[in-house]
Amino acid sequence: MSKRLPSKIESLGVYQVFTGTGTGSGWLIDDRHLLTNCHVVQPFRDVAIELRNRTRIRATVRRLHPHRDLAIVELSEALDGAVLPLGDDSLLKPKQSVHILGFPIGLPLSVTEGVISHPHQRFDNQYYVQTDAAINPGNSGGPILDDERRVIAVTTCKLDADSVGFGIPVNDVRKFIEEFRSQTVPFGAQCPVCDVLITKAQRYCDECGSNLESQHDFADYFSSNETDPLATFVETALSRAGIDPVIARHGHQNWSCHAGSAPIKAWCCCSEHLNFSSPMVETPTRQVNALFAYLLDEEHAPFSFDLDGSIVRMNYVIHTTDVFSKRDREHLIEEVGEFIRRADRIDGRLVKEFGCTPAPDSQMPGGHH
Amino acid sequence: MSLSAFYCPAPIRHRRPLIARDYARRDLAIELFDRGEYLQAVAETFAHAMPEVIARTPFVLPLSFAQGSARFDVRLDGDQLVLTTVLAELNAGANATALLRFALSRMAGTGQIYQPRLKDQVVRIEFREQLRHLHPLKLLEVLMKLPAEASGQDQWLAEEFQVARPASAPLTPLNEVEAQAAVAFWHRHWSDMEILHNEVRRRRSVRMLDFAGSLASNLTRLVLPLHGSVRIELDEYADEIADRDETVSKRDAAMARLVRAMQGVDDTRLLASLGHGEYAINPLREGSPSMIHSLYGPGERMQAVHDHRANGRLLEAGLELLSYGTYLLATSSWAEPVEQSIAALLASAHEKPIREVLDSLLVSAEAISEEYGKHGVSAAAEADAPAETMP
Repeated sequence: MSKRLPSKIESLGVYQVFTGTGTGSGWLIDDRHLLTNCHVVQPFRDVAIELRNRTRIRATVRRLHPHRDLAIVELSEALDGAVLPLGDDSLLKPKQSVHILGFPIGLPLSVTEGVISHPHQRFDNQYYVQTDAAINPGNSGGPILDDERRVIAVTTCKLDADSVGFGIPVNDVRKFIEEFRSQTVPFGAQCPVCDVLITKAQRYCDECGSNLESQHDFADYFSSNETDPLATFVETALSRAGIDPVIARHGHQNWSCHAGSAPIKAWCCCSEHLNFSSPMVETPTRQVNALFAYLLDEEHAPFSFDLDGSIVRMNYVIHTTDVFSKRDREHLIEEVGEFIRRADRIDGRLVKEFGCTPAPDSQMPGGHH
Repeated sequence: MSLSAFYCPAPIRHRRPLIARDYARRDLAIELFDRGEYLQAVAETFAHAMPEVIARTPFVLPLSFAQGSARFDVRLDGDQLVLTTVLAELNAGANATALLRFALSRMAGTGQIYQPRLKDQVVRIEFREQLRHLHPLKLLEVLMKLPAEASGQDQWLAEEFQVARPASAPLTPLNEVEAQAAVAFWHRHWSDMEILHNEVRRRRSVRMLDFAGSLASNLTRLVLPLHGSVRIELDEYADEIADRDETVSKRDAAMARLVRAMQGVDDTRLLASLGHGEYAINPLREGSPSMIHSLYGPGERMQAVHDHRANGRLLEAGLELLSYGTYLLATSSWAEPVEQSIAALLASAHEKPIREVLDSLLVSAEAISEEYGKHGVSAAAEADAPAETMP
């Protein structure tokens, strides 16, 4: 790694972006705005950004450039990560070292290294910086840096072939940022053909006459998202329990958040079950009999506990037929709320009374976070 | 096994014939539930899940039924339906910590709507739901999964953790003739499997290992009413042998360990692991024409058998045909004519020279596919269906 790239990459303003379809990466262009890929945030207008302490804040999508795969989101609070300077892609040369920052496959912030394979590669009718550095799902939207720690491109995609990844050249990114800063409308998407800013749903671009509805799902950017009933149910239940569902989204039919100190996860594992689980503590290594007896006690019904290795999880399983039944809906939403409240109460009890230690995802003092 | 003949004796295990489920009753249950007639919906769901039992005895709560060595109680507790089975009682001398850890790590979990519970030193698996929230599909899922899981585990739990089973269902011991036949089968079968496995190693054939592993486990399941720790051990090794994500050397080692472990089971332990049980819910899945077609019908599998035969690999050809047959009978229930045809195919090879019976096995297999491998549609239309993942 370059001498200029700090050994503690955590100080850099690169953050993980969470949505209802997956996760990606993004980087600060100032303390209130983050740049990422359009495909990372679409079709959502509100996304979550995870900070180093694993708490999340909300962010609102302000600009989209579907054709160039860029997006700018406004953060709900200012962040103090280092804002990375922009380089100049016209100066790039083959074999020049590059460093890719991001959150591959959802892992914590990581750096991968390689060289520029082609500084100005034409692919799919656009120009990209091509690199052999490892790019994985979750890296999208992250910065590609040179040795001087300047952004020279934004990670966007890779081919199925080995070591062929692409970044959006920084000069295109700079233009996108500058246009955003010169505009005042709260939300807009740039026409894929002429780059003019579109701020409302319309079939044709006023400037170039392109049919917008036929390109890049353009109409979706100006309409409310079509969510499936399971997602609507989970998000309603989380919302009633005082948890912002936008903050909790963690990919398709997958949610993760905290209720007080207890980590809460929700997911659909199959067509039949909706699972809520709180991996709250780790078991002590000895004298576990009383703990196990407590965990299996029928007093916890309809909730239950299981062991995932040494992690104690409190679980609530809902049959999906119930979610689709109007009769059961309110009752289930209340049960989910009770599950969340009880998870927050019980984790402390397991630590105090049974000698458990907080699980890695716990926000209790002594947790690994 | 002399490598020139197969050993396929008649099953000692009692027949578990296919009693086709009446799906109209399931749909009626859903209609009743939607109309708010909850108890009637529960009754119809039970009638769909266990047609034989409900045909004999009208559905009345509380209800008790046996599933192998496990006994289940169904009752109303206020406005809740409770379905429960006692797995173990933590008596003095029991390895309680290990049992509770097992229950928490292997029996409890996400992805299932029933859970193990502990009360007054008794571990149960329990499902409990208010009638007005008990959708028939939910109850049906519990009925299809919970009894199977409990009856597969309970006897093993008692042996492994020295716990009592106060409410178990009694298994009928084998009579003297059956016991003698079972012991004879056991010794002969595992001796044959050792010889077959040595041949697999000599030929260094992964495909042959697949079929040898399948025959070793499925013929045992087909012939013997096996329960408890021996059954669990057999199942675990069989899973390891069939695990194509594992390396070949590990799968081969699992086959060797299976043969050694089963040869190490003495007659007393074997007979204690055998018994005829009652099953309210057929533990075998419903056999379908698609299964037969995918194994014995025109396609890659039968093409491979013909290739073996044409190239003089008679052992492989016979092994594959018999593995398919034992798999079909050991894992699924069938209408009587289908079951008899497959059983006749296996019996025709019993202790006969492979070179003499192979042609007739092929003819029988293709005839079974022709006769029973169709849902009433042409075979060509079925060719698009996904193949069975067996063995």
